[in-house]
Amino acid sequence: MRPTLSEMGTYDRTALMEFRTHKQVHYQIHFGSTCSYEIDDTPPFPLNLQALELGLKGTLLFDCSLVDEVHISRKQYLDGSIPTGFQRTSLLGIGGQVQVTEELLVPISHCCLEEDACREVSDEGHHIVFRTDRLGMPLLEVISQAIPMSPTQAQATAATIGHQLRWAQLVRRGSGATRQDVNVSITGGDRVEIKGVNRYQLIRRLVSREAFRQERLLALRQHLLDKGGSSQLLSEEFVDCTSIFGRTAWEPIASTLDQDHKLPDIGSPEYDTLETERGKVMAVILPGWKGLLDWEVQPGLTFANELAGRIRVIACTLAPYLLRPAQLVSMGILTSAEMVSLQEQLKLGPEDTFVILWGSQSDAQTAAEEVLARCRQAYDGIPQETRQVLEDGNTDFERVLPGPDRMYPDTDSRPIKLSPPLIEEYRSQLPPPLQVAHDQLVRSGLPADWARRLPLSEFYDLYRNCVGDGVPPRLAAWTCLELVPALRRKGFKSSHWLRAGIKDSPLTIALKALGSHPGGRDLMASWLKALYRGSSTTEGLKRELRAMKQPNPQELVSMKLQEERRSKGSAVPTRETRRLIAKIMLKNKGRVEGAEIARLVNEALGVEA
Amino acid sequence: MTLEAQAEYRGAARALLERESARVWSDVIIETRQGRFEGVVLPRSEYDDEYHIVLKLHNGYNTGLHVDSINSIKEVGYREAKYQIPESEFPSQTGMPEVTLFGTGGTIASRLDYRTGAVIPAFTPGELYGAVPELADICNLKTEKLSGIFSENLGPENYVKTALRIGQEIEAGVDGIVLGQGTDTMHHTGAILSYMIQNSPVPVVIVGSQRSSDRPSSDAALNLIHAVTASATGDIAEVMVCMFGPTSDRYGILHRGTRVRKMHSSYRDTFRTIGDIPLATITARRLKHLRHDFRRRRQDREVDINTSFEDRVAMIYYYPNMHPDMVEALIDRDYKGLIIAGTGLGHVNKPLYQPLERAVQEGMHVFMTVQTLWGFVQMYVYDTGRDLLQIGVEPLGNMLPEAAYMKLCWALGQSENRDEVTKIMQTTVAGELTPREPYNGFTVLQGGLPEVDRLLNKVA
Repeated sequence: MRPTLSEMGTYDRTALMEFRTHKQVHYQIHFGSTCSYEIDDTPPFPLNLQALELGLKGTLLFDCSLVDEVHISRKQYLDGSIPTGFQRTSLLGIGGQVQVTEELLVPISHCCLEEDACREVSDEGHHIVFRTDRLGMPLLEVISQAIPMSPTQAQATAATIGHQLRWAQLVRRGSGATRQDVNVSITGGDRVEIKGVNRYQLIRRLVSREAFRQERLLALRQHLLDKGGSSQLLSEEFVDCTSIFGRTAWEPIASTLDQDHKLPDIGSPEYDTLETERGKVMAVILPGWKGLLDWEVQPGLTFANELAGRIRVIACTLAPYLLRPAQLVSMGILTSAEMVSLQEQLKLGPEDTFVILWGSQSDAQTAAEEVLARCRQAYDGIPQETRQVLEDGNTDFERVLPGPDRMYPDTDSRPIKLSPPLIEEYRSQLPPPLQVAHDQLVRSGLPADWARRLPLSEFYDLYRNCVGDGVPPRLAAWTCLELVPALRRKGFKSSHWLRAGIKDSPLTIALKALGSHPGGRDLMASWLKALYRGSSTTEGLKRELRAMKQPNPQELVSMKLQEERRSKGSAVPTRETRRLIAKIMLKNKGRVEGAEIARLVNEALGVEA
Repeated sequence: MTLEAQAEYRGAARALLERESARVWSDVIIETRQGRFEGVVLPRSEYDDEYHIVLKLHNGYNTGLHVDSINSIKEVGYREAKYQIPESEFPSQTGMPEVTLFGTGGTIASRLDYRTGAVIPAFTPGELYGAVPELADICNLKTEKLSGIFSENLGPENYVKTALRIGQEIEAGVDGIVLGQGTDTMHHTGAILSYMIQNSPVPVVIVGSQRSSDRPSSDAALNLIHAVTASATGDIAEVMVCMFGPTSDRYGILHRGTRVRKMHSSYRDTFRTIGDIPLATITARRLKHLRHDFRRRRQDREVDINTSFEDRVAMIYYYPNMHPDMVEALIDRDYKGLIIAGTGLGHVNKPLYQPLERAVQEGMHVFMTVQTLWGFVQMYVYDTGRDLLQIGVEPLGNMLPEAAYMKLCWALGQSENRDEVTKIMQTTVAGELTPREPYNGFTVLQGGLPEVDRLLNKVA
């Protein structure tokens, strides 16, 4: 991959950064999901019109103004995540909005239809592995405008956008189907993008931590400037201290110095000369930085981690990427005598510190250059970066934040004109606002939590179908939101009729057959289990239901109480109400409502429910 | 580009721009029925309609706005794009090999063309150095633009001019020649230059790219590096085609100019040596020979340039139900030579016998090749072949149809004498006819077989 010029004749800084990394990109391809387009051996096919339709509907959903003509652009990515080196993307609309809460109206700056990239499988040293199964999937990007908001509001915004799209049935559901790129800047800071957040529930924490990080980096800047420092004091002359580390047994450095390193861009030894480089250990002296490598920037992470992230991505050396002076003797990497000679070689001042880097000669050089560049940026404040999420909610450097300079028209595709009547048709097909559905469900007697969850559930259509046919809303909602997930958790996973979207599925038949039958919940549960195990069929269920006599709850309770009195010769003590209810229910499960029995027993025994 | 670009808005869009005093490259605020759009007015392709203004928004996206929906356009600035690779003078170092790079166009060097919306060729040494600085580590490069056209538009005059210029450069003392051109007819060029430039003391390497150089994944830079390496320091002094080996960026292949063929419309490893094995593999650092029967680099400056070319030559790709008048028409239109790509071992149907006989009698030179591409013409096996031989259709062994076509043009440019032409055609000049086909010269592997898929995992 090589950087190419944007349409405006400029190079993008991210492309230039990625070109420095000399990564070998490996692709995993599978017969079922990959054709020669994914491996960049066939020119692109025309834009998928169904994707365009869904994209336009999504754009309309957020009240955006649509463009009149869709132009397809290429957005450059040189990290290998897209084999062509560019993502095809088109702007569909601008200037929309989304109502997040009653007080919070978030402007939507634009919506784009894009192709998804590969997913990363691994990234170690100079080798990065991508899987192509997700490549080229249509992706609707909804970009909200940068406005001041709290971490909680940011999370709510992402949730609302995701929920709206799900409600309109425009997007796939499931983990990772909606992803967020979270952009954060605080006053005095600069835009940092946290890329590919899979769960919106993480956003609050990510935003808080990024705000903290920016605050800490700004404080570091102030500290550096207060001490009279300047980025000009950092020298581009790095110190080769390989010989001092020559006898260390510490594995990362010992193995680096032990082996010859293949040049990073060499194709394959079969076809190339085996030119190699020796390993090197280098020191970058940081005047005025004493103690600052340990400056906390994220919970548990220091400025040294900022350096490590850059080295990992750009110089492609292996963990732990760098060493601080304090680690050298304490970790037994150098002897005290070696440490003294290192300090002599580096000629440190009292306020100075240094970092130790290792790798093949060219990698160590790149690492040193990156350390220098990042430390110099510390005097300016916050570098614009794209960062990736770590498991603990912290973030790490991914790449330099790209700008508009990576855009180029896709010369293989013609613009697509949008016809106003078609747009109006799309608009008319949009569902009413989510809030309307929610209010309707509350009015039909569902608890607020169910009313919130049901419209986003895959069973919403099934629910509406059943309720339309007279099934009590609470029974239908309980089945969709509680019973089916519970069965799934118990391992009733493979059964196709537990999935939504199947017309006349056993689920629908059972719900409709039960209708307002008392004890519907218990029956639903046992029927679904029986169906799943194959010990019953839907026809069998219908017969069973017809044959079922519905006992009178009042009779059941009084019969049971008489029976108890007869056997014990005295009145039933009130502490035994629970046992009694259980006994009655054991025999009549599914035929009477447990709540009703409890009420009657309590009443008969004079117990306050 | 400005003038040329402004002219591309026509009709309603042009009128609107003029009325609102905006130009191409104006930084504008456009108020539309849908809302406000801010960006730079871009030129519009002449193939698109006249009702939309193309705007590059400040976030980099392009979009089209219909003239009817535009209420007003306000120019707030002017930002003309200069789509130019940073140019700097190609450095020259004493002791480095001297290479001359001729350009004819094609995707090896190209840039955006707003007139058509496609890419057009662009090419200067400074640009090349800006785009592929590695070239300076290999040689001192001189470039010369011979033409700026796509390869399908190349013809005899281009071949002749190219061969003559290459001859002059060799005599002037260069250490290698690289010729950049579009890939579609690269094997035709490879063949004709193999006949026109004989006994060269230095490599002549033809190179191109399957992905235009405005794409990050372009193979242009790597192919160019490989070709320049082969030309500057390689020891194979033949006319070769240098293109990707596998589809990955691992190495290139040097193919003999007469045996190479473009075999896929878009794969980057589209070029294959047919019925034989390639000359060598090549990376930026190393040329690895795959065979040793090649012409070696020499220090002298002697080269035989023979640019004879007769352009009244045709090729027909035989199919069942071909009517005799296909051949009759060629005779009537005074074609002097005909290459047939016949079925199987070199056959056509009976109705063609009569016109072919007439063609030969009237002085047309008719030769047989095989449309199977792999394998030899063998006209003694079946009666059809014997009949055709009897008529005077001459077999051309395992010469590829395109190589045969170019050779007949070249031969007829030198003589019209039947025996002489046949002798030129049937005597190998640059490997276009081989005495035998090696066991590994035919490898069209069948995908889907487990053993082949295992192999593909290793070589792709």
